[in-house]
Amino acid sequence: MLKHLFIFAALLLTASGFAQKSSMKFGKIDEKDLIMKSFESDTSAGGLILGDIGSIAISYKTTIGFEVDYTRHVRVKIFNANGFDLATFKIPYYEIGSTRERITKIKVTSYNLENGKIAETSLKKSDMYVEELSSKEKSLNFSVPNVKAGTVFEVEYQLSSEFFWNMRDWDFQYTVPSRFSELTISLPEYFIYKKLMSGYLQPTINKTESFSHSLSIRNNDNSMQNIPYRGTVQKLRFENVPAFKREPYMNAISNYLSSIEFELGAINFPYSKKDFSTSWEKISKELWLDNDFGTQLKRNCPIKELAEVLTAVPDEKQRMVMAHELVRTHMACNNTNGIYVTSTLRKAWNEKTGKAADINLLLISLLNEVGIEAEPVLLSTRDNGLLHPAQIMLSKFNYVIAEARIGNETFLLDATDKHLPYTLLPERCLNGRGRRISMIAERNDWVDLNQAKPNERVLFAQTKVNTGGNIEGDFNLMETVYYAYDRNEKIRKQTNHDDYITSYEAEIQGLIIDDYTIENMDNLQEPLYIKYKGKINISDETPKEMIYFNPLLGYGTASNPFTLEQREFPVDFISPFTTKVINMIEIPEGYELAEVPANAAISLPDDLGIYRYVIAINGNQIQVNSTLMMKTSQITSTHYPHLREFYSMIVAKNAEMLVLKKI
Amino acid sequence: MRIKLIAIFLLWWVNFYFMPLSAQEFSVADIPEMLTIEANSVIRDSRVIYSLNNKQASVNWYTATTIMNPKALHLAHLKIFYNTNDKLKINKATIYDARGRKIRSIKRSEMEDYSMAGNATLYSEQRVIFSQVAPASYPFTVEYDYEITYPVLYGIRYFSPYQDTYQSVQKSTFTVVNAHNIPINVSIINLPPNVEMQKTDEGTYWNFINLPLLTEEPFSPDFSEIIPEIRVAPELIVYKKYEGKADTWENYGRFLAQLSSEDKGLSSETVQRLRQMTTTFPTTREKVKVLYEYLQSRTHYINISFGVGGIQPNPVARVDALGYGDCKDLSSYMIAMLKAVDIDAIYAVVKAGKNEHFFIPDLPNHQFNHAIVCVPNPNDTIWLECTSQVMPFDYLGSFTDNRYALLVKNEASRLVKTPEYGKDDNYIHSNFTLLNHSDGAIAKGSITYGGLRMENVVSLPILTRTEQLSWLNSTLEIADFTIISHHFRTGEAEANIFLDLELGLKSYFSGTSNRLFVPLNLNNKVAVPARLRSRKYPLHLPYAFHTTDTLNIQIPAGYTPVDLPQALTEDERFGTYSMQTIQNENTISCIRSFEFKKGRHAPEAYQAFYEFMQKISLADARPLVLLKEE
Repeated sequence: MLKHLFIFAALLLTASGFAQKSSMKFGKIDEKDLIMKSFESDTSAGGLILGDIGSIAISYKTTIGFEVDYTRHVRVKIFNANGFDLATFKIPYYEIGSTRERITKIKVTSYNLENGKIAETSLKKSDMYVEELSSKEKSLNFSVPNVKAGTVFEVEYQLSSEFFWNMRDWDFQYTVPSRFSELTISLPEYFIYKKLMSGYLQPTINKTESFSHSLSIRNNDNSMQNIPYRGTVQKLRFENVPAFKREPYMNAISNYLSSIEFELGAINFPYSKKDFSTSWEKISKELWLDNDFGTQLKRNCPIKELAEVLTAVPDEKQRMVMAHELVRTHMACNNTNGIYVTSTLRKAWNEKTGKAADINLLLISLLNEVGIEAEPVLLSTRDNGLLHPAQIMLSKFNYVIAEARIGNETFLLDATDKHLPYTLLPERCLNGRGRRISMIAERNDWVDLNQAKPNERVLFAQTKVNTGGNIEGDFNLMETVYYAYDRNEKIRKQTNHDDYITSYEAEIQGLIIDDYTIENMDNLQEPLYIKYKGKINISDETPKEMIYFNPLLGYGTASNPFTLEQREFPVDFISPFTTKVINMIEIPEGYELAEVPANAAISLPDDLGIYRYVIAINGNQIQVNSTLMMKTSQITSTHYPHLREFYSMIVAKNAEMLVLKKI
Repeated sequence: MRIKLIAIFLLWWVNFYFMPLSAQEFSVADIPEMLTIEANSVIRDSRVIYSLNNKQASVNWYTATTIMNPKALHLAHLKIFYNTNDKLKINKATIYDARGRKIRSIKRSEMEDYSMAGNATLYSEQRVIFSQVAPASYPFTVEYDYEITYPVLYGIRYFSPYQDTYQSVQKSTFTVVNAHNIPINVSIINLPPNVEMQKTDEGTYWNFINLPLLTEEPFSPDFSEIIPEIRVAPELIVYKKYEGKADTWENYGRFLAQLSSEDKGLSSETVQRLRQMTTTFPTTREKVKVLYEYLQSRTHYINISFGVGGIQPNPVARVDALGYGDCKDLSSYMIAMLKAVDIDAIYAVVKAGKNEHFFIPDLPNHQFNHAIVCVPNPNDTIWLECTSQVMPFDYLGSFTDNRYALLVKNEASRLVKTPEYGKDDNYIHSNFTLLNHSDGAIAKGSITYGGLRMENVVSLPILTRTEQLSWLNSTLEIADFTIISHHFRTGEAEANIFLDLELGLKSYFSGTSNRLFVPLNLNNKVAVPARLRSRKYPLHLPYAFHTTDTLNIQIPAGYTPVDLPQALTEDERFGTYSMQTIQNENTISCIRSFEFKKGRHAPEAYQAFYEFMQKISLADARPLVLLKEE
């Protein structure tokens, strides 16, 4: 398209005002880098990025038209075998139809100190491989030769592409530390990209300059026309970047890694304009016009007959629940994300399978058909990373759910999971806020996705201790929300319920379960129950003078999940939760209580969470109640030491013993 | 053409005699009920025809599988593994609903063709044709029919009627068509009694009917010892320009040796350098060690399978130049380096993998997937794993221990066994002292890992501090701890790993007003096996080990122990556990020892094994009780 427009055009080059020489020259290796044994700021690093210089430039080429050129020159130091992975490169590139990306000017050289001299080894073309990843995607694979502890190597290449809509990201942070990583982005005014920076680090250089070039085009009457245009060059540089380290209880890495992503906003040529996205209003309008989105909802609902049956249900909420159940049980999800339908809603319904978008748009269509207001809400799943509210980028969304409105109440609905009730969204959707896409302009707004009730787990036990110190009784485990859902999925994965109970027994030391029932597996609007008669063996059966046992029987939180002393990123529990263990204990005849743990209440600052341990004694009956309540799903890294200490105290309290003495 | 006709004839013949389910009859109701109980999938009808030709072979796979529930969904997807040199023909890919009615056919345009190269692979000719199936409801049936022609006559064709666990088999046949009477070696393993074998002029076939559910149980023998399998291998080899015989191990070894016969060896410069490096070391063992460590320091594993890449090593000079290669490349390179200093080493091929001990000694063919190096040395044979930067010298680990290996020598190839790690080799020893401080206890001491028990920690000395901490944080079995310091080091005297550790244990001494309860097992708790409600397979305990743990506890001032826990649990089948506590002034030492035997026992022994481990677990859980002095 662009190519045709400019087929007679020629480029007049003017010198760019931003042509700064790079600080790294291929082949000019500092001997100090070869001698270096480890990196002083991170002595355990397996390697070090000595420098990584990239550029992304859209420029005009007479024979081709506009093209994106990516160049990269990276220099790496290897300290030990841990860093060897850095020496293997797999550069993916695309070939779609006759349009293909090209990798050129590739140079690969390693440097080693041998007897005080620098020995160079370059990789031969014959040692590079092209791998066909799929029909559209290939990969140029190679591994730098002669890499060992101490090696410095360099790789340089250029990749040219016409796929403007698929601009490659650049990471400023690596699994090893780096001295610097810089990227120069040079864009003519015709190309508008949204840029999304992520990560916690700040660049040391971030400056933008403008330049002017001109093009000459041949008009229809063969006269030449000079078209001057302007552009911008942005330079971003990060220095002394620490290695990126993953921490437990963390969501998508992309939220934290320092990087830049691009989304094509518009291509504005003097003769042809295509605006891709600029404002939420525009995005919404375009989505409603999109064949694979709004058009599907404007068409007649593909299940009119079933809808008519539903319309007869007088209660609106019940009607909504039934519509949700109808779609949920009829449709199977193929676990593909995305916001657009596969082909049409009718086809999806007939084939009974589809992507999440097919299923949830079908649900919206059905709800509207039965007289319930419903609109799509776009979101980014947890794997896909958090949305940045300031960035208006449609490509950041990868999922769509339904929002239904009945009176003043709203319901967020997803029908992709056969076992998930209408009250819950899949956990992958609980990721900050989603964006409502409405035909009514003022209703286009953010929607808080995490509206679920807190997770709850209660273990209620009525037990007897015998003279050997062993415990027997009735146990009742109740779980709600995602706790119930997760356990339900675990049970379903087992061959039969017995097998599940076998694995459940293993969670509590000494537990043996005789009879059990599992309730509400098919109705998770209600809590999930596992009720059982159990025996907990602590010792042999010979009568004891003293009996020691933990009144929580091992059901309380027994170890601190936060072993790291510090952390950089927030702890993400996904949802708030409450876990409770209540045990009513009957002590054997002929024994008396010698010692009991003290009552306790521990709380986190800012009322983020609380833990209570209460013991009550009534004759030969003892009741212990241990409750942990986390009132928030996210704990910031500044509160992390408190959280760790909180858990440490809970673990200590939960480990305390009760002592019985023979009278 | 003739082969094809025979195949078609055979198909018809088999059809006629066994009346297989026709496409309209994939109704789930037609599966015998006993085959559906607890089954995730049922093979309805499977026909595999292996046809041998003079220079190539082909296999036709026809399989109809009923997927009973989502647990077997992975079996529903179309997956055809092939090599770029193979010829592939897809005849049918159709999906049926529970009543056996056709839902749809998978079109060629819905099938994606992917490379199989993983992360450590630079290039591979292995590819897969893939199409994902998303069922609307369960059960449903997939029917696939495809044919692959291999341009070589090499290797073993494996056939098993089962494709997965929790699967039963309604009907399955395997046919070998050998029109040219190529000599073949047929090995038959674990065949159930109701299997018919028929020989006709056209070929040989086996027919399996109504095979029961294949279940899984913990501590079972490897599946190779349980599931029925037929292995067929041509005794003639035609592999690109190479030809050979696989009728004896000598001949098969000769063929493998031939693949490297054109290798020109290392450059004279490299040879000189290697000689200089080793001259100062007097013994063979020391010389081998120096060169092995040199190999580890300057090469790493990268897989490039290209051309005869599946079995032929790259020239050693090329490996020398690049500094990387796969197991064949690096093993050949190691041998070439040893040859440069006049040490004879032998290329050895094995079937690597943690539980891959099963081997058929009288099937002289490609029962291998890995290459290692054997250095014969009087009374001290040395084995080298050449793909790892961290494995200690002369250490194989569970990847290649205790199994058959073929020593490849031009004229005298033979099978040998790799070394087995016994009770004395496999150990964990720990020794910690627990000191009291105002803000909790501090544990200080070290752990030593040896033999197969070292495997989980073998790479830790070279990992980054962050990775080490993350490993420790997720592996230590202590309720609440802070790592004050840690240090991993490798043993000097023998191949083992040391971990020096100092831990802050804030709440280790938990208690009430009058008593403190101190766990006596710091970090070596036994895992109790699942309490099974029934047991079908023999109990298999794969290797022996022993552990000793000493914990010296400083008694906090003002407390005395109520008693000194002791325990002894013995079972001549499984081993011996003992735990003793001794008081010495204000220190209590807990000495724990556990010897675990390897063995194979009848299924009934499982319950006794569970009880044995349960007893130990309870003994481990018993705390030391300290009483406040009045």
